[in-house]
Amino acid sequence: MRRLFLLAAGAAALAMLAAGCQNTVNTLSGGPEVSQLDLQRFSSDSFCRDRLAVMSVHRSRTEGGAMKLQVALRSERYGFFPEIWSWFTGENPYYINYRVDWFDPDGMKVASPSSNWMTEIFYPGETRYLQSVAPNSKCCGFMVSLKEKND
Amino acid sequence: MKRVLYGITGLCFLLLLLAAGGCASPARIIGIDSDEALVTVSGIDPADWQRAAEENIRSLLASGALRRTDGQQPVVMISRIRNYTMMHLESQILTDKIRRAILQSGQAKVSSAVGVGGNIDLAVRRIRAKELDDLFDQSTVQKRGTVIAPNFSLSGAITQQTAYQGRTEESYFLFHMALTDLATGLAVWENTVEILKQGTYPLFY
Repeated sequence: MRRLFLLAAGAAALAMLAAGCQNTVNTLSGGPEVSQLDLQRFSSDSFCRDRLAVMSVHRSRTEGGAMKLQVALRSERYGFFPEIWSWFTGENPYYINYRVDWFDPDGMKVASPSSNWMTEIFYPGETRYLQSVAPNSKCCGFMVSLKEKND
Repeated sequence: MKRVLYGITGLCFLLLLLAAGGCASPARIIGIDSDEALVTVSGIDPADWQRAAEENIRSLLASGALRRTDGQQPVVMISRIRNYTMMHLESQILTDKIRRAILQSGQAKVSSAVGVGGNIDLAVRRIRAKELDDLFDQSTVQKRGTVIAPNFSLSGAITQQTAYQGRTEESYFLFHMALTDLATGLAVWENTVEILKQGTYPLFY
């Protein structure tokens, strides 16, 4: 009886461990101003997903007619213990790479300098504003990719 | 005894050679924006060129400076990028990206008839030198007075300032760009991208 109990407990622990390791939906958390539709325009690795939140997504037009994008990202690692942990793991400040891909009305990606990974530095609790301008006035879609920068 | 010593020395030498060979990494292609790319303190790395180009292009396209009041599409010439650093630089890495971005944006056209270095196509002038060459059908030779002169000039400067403190080196780079209205000589857009890099050298190399 005792062996059966141990076996069941072991299986339950294993299942919990497996569930913990599983990658959930790969989206960032968003502020109150950010819609689910906007969050779908972000892709991120699991590191950035846990450390950054999208606070706002603003669009406007340049005088030339091209779409201009501004994304506010906030570092969610702040407070005494998270900052101690970030310092211990060498993640204070936290380095990320980001890029913005632009798409034409047919959904085809348009080559742009913003399609290369760029580095941004976040201090605990800091909000950074990433900006990008569409390569031409026909572009109407975008995708923001984020990943932790490896040293 | 001597033979044993020789044997041990030989074995150590062989192991050292193997270890040295094991440290080598085979040549491979890494992405232009890869995290594995070398980062130097005193040099301008690919990531720095990317940042300088991307931020300057974004600022230029968002500024509306290329817009003309008469509704015509302006023509931009790529002028000199002055190098105020301590090293040899190929500024074309920067201007090439900006040229492409301006053309792609549809906000302006870029002149290849005038400019500096790789931004000028000598064929524009050379083909007109064939107007007396009987080898060519003269009706197909480009006529003089057809090349469109630019309205704007894009110029810039790359500046470096280096500081040392102990084994720590710090380099401060400024990528300054300006768009000048050639009719008035006034700057209609300017932007500077700043990059600060720091590194500490090991005590022993």
